[in-house]
Formats: sequence, C-alpha cells, structure tokens
Amino acid sequence: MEPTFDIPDSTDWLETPLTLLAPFESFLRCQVCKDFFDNPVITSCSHTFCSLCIRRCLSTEGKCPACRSSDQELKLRRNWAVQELVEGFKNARPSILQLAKKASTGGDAGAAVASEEPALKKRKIEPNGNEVATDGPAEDGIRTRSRSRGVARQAPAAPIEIMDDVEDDEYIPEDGLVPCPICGRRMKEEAVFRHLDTCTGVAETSKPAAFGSLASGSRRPLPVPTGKPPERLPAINYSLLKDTMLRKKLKDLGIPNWGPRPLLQRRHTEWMNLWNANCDSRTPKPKRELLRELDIWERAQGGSSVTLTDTTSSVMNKDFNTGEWSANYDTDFKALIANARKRNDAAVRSTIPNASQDGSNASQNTQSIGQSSEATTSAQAVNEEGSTNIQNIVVNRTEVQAVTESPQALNEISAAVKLPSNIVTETAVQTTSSAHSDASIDLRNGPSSEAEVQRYLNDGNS
Amino acid sequence: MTDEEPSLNIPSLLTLAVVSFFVIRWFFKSNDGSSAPGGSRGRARGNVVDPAQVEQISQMFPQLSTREIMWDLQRNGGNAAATTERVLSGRGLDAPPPSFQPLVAIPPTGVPAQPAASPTPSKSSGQDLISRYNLSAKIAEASGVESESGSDAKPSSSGGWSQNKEERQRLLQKRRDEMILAARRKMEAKQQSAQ
Amino acid sequence: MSTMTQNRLFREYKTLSTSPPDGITAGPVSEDDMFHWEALIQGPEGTPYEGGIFAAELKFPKDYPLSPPTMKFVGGGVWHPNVYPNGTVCISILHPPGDDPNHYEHASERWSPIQSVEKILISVMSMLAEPNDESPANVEAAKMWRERRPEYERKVREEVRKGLGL
Repeated sequence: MEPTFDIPDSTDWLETPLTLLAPFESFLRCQVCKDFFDNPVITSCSHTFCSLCIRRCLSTEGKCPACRSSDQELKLRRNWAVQELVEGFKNARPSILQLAKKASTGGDAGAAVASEEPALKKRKIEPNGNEVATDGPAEDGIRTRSRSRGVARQAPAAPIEIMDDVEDDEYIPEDGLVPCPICGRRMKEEAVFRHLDTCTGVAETSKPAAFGSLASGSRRPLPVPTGKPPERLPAINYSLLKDTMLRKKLKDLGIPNWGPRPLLQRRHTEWMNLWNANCDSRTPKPKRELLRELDIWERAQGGSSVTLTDTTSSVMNKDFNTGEWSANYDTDFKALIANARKRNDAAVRSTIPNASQDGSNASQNTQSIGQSSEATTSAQAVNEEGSTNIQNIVVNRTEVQAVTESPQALNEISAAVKLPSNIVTETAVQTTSSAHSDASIDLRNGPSSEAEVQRYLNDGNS
Repeated sequence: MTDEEPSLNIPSLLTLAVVSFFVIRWFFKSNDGSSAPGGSRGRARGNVVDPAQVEQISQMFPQLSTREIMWDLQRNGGNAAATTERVLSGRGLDAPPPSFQPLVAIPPTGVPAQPAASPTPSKSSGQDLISRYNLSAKIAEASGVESESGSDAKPSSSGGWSQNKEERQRLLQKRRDEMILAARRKMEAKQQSAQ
Repeated sequence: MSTMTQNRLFREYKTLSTSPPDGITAGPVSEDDMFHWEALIQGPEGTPYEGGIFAAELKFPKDYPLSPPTMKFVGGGVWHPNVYPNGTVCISILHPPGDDPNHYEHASERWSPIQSVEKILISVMSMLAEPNDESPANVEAAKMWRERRPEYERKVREEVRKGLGL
C-alpha cells in the first residue's frame, strides 16, 4: 500500500511563531506510532497509548513500553478524556496552523515572545469557531478513508436501531413489557429470563454477520455508545493447542488458517489485537474492515502469496450463505450482466478468439464470462469443484462463443446468473494469476469493484 | 527351494539392516559436517536462540525469566525439550552470568541475525566518505569558495523539509554533503595548524 | 502494520530533518524503501573520534517499532570495543528487551517501542565517547583500549582522517 507522505507532525509548529505548540502536540501523540492517539487506553501504570499499539506491545513483550512494568491487556482502560482532547485538537489544528503560518509570513509581529503565545492563540481561534467545527482534520489519508467508508456502509442499517431505541424510551410506561438487558428486545417480564439463556446479544433487526462463521455480536450495525460493546477475544495459550485445534479456531474466527504454525500464532495474535482494539473504539469498524487490515498486516509480513483464502473457504463452505453473498455483490453482478449484454449487442464474434490470444486482461475477461455461462448450467458444479483448472476455462471459452451467438442464451445467463455468478466472479478472478489479486480484493471490498469489473470487460471489448 | 528362501533371506536382511544403519549414520554425520561452519560460527559467540522456542518455554513456565531460558537454550544448543525436562525435574535453570547477552534471531523481520563478525568485510571497506558520496568534485569547488568566504559556509540546518519527494531527497543529500565537507575542512585546518 | 510502521518511520524522518540534533544527519536512502536508512554521526568532542564523520546504515524490521533496527557502520567500520570488525554496532538500546535480573544492562537502556532513531544515534554518539568494556564486540580493540590507550587513540585518529579522505 502506498502511504500518504504528507504527514502532519508536531514539528510543523516549529516554523511558526507558535513553537510552544510542538511539545503540546507531541503530548497528544502516541509514543509508539507517533500518530495522534487512536482509541487511547490507559495502562495500570498510568501511561496512555493507542489501543492497538499497546496491545501489540503487550502481546510481544508483556510490558509497558514506557516504564517496563508488567501489564496485561485485560487491565487496559479506555481514556475518554484524552480521546476528546485529541479529537478537539485535530479539528482545530488545520486552522490554527494556517493562521500561525500566515502570522509568520505576514509581519514581524509574528516573532512573538514565548510568553505571549498562549494568549495569541486564543485570540485567533475564537473568531474562527464555526469554521473549525466543519473543517476536517488533515489526518493521514488511509485512516480517514477507511473510517468514512465504514460509516457509509453502516448508514443504511442505522436508522432501524435508532428507532428501536426511541420507541423503547417513549413507550415504556404503556406496554408493560420489559426490555432484555442484553439485546434490548421488549418482551413480557416472565419471558425475559428464558430469553436471556438464548440471547445472542444482538437486536433482531441487525443484519446477520456476512461471513456467517463468527459469533454474532461482531457486526453491530450502529455504534451505540451506551450499548453492549462487541465481545472481546480471549488470549490463547498456544502451547496447549494442537495444530489442528488452532486451525479450527482460526477458521471459527473467520480468518485464514493456512500456513505454518508460527504464522498461525502470529496471525491469531494480530487478529486478537485488531479485534480487541476495535472493541475500544467508539465507532467500531465492521469485521470486513478488520479483515482487510489483517490482510495488509499479512502482506507486510512478506510471506503471503495467497490472500484470498478467507473468502474462498467461506464460498466453499457447505453452510455458505448464498442469499447474503448475492446481496452483497449485487452491483458487481449487475455490471457483469450489463457488460455481457453490451457485448452481445455488439455481436462482434471475431473479437473473442482474438482477445483470447492477445492479452491477459482479455483472456481474463473471457474467462469470467465463460464461467458465467457454465454457471447457467452447473453453478453447483463450480461451487463444489472449487478450483477451476485451465482446461475448464478453455472449454468454457468455446461455450462463450456459442452463447454470444444466441441472444436467448444470454438472457438465460442474466436470469440464472443472479445467485451463482457472484461465486463465479470470485472464482474467475481468483483463477487468474496472483498479479490480479489486488483487483479481486477490490472486488470484495465494494464500491470500487464495479468500476474494476467494468474496466476488465472494456479491456476485453477493445 | 521354498525352504531355502527364508534361510537365505534372514542373513541378507541382517546385512541390509547393518548396511542401512551405517548409511544412515554416515548420512547424519555428513549432515552435521556440512552445517559445521555455521555451528562453529555460532559457537564462537554462542548459539543464536530461536525466539519461538523461548516463547514456547516461557508460555509453559511463566515464572521463568526469558533471560534464564535463553541462557539454558544457548548452552544446550537450542534443545527446548532438554530445557523443559530440566525445569520439570525441579532442578530449575541456572542464573545466567552477568556478561551473558542473548543473541536472538528475529524471524519475522527477515533481518539476518548475523552480527557474528563475518570476517569478510563488505566490499565498501576501506572506502572513505569522500569517494562514497562522490564528493571529490565538491571538495575542489569548496576549497576555492572557502578561501574567499571563510567560515560563512556553515550549513543552515533549518528548512530541511519539503513537501516534494525529490526536493526532500535533495535536501537530505545536501545536508549530508555539507556535514562531511565541513568536517573535512575543519580537519584540514587543524592539520595545517599542527604543522 | 506496514502502514503504521511506514508512517512512524516517515514521521521520524521528518522530525530529524526539521529539527536535527547536533552532529546527526539521518534519512532513508530512498523514500521508496523506508526500511533502509543511512545516518551520519559526528565524532564526539574531547575523544579521539573528534572531528570525524561516521556513516552507518540502519535496517528496520517489518514490525518496527516493536523490534529494534540494526545499525552497521559502513566504509571501513569503526575501531571501537563495541563495534564488530564488520561495522555492526553492539549497544544495549539496539537489543530487544528481555529480563535482565543481574542488571548488566539496565532495562531502561534497552530497546522499547518508544525509543527512536534519534535516541539510537545519540546513544551511539555517547558510546563512541565512553566504550562499554564489559561486553566487547571487538576484542582486539577492547584490549588495546584497556591496555595501550595511546596506541588506540592514534589508530582511531588515523582512521578518522582516512574516513575524510585526508
């Protein structure tokens, strides 16, 4: 991943008259990652770090990085005051910095005496109050993007729960029902205790988890600050677990379970850290986002040529939730169908054999369509077969020609393809060389995927 | 014929077993031999401890300090089983001597843990900074300038940052060159005054 | 992790560029690989290393700052009890932490994620001034330092001059 190299830093203040803000800002930064505190937590030795940073430290060393006293993850507590300080400062920072820079270039008065500076700063902020509130913090791009994406995805589901809560508040005296203390569902008083035994902690209206395998409660669609936070993952004593048990455990968590044992352990530790740090967040990210972060971590470790295992295994699972899958990838799907139609309209038969010869993009395109056509007849077969080999693809390619010759067949595709072509898309992309793995990740990740598919198809067309 | 066969087979089996025994032994020995250079290098400064083993043992026996574990592992040649055995038998681990410095191989990093004085110095060995950074041209240039401007050539340390990547790279290089050239000038002056 | 590591390295680079400590210049060899740095250290005054400039390369692990970088003097190395003949620096701040019940190295001197490149380089500077005799990396140099100090200083001065191409 290409990091954004325009990174704000406490030394930014050194060029301005407000040099005293440099130490101030560095106090608002985590000593481990040097970034602003992200979900700050406080250790039992009263040092504050980002939740994720200190968890990583503790899981490697078991000691506080600042004072080296032993500490445990379980003793970490959230530090809301620091979080609010950081958020407030981050909001105000761009405009203060801008003003300060203007002051330093504007006049000689900028060379202010140190003692004057605090007053100077206050005076400057006040008239700008409104602007400050709307200004986005000039944070590093990656974080911001991921966070906003998470929010965007959650948005549709959000109103439902809010309404639930509102209703609860308003109707308490009238219906004589009691809310479940865990999931908040209202029921008769005597039913609560029986319900508590089976309550999973998720309000009924929330969507079930996308990957099906992990215990629910992970994907609360709306971050309700007062609600029950998602359950934390306990630490595992790896030496007590056999290989197979560990693999099963990872599989149950919904994370990749291939590779040698040390990698499995490190992956689990990292997942545990990501997960538990996310639990500290006021706006928890969805699991998919965490999986993506795990994937980035994995690639940074160097040894991962296979990046798609989690999805593949979930597709190949017997209890794979096809309905949800097709709902998730509906857009990708429609794009594929639309493109197939377009192609049919063009009805340039000769391009297909050419395309299959001349380039990887083109041949990939043919593949995916080819597999779609197969899917019309035997989606189940693809599903069970798992890996489609090259012979298959060659066969499919001939099928494509047949299909594109008859509009009827194409309609068949678009009708029948609704469910299975998700799977097909996935496998098709996957069977192409690992060079395309990035693209396939995009495919899984949503918004950009449509464009991605479009691009592939267009490449083939031209 | 059928009676003879087993009687023939038993001695031949025996010889086969003996031969294979020697072959296997020879195989393992030669294996040891081939790894000897690495081993001897390790022995020169103690074996490099595998952190995975240390972690494994410290998970089993949290009361032990990692230093003790490393020390024991290093002495018994990285045999985790032997260390475990030792702890379980109640003998406990010896306290490492104060001079003991655990050499940890850091596997996730891929950084080769071989500070062990590989006697072949890098090919840049013996190369001075002037040729390393191609500064000879600048020396000639600077000496001309210096005779005129004297001590004015002090580099301005501020403003070593830019939003532009190439600009940053250039600034860093400039600061590096200036640092070396300034030191060289000073040294030259000192030498001259000493003479 | 990788982004966290790279961001942190980049921040350190920026800090070292905008407010560099005296006698230290450091930065990545190329910004395309933030895990490989080159640093220049000035020899501390009042020591035989005075006036010299020492170049070193720093290699960062992928899980930096959880693990420390390695540091190696380049261009002929440095004649010093705590520097291996191939240039690798042996100093407590570069050692991954671990229990040290005998206080040979104070735990506070060892690597911790809150340390930084700047602190490493400053420690190396003070190491040049005050060699640690207890765990010599270069036995020859340590012996010479202990027993024949004038010869040691002469040798160091000569190397310093050679390093500057004089």
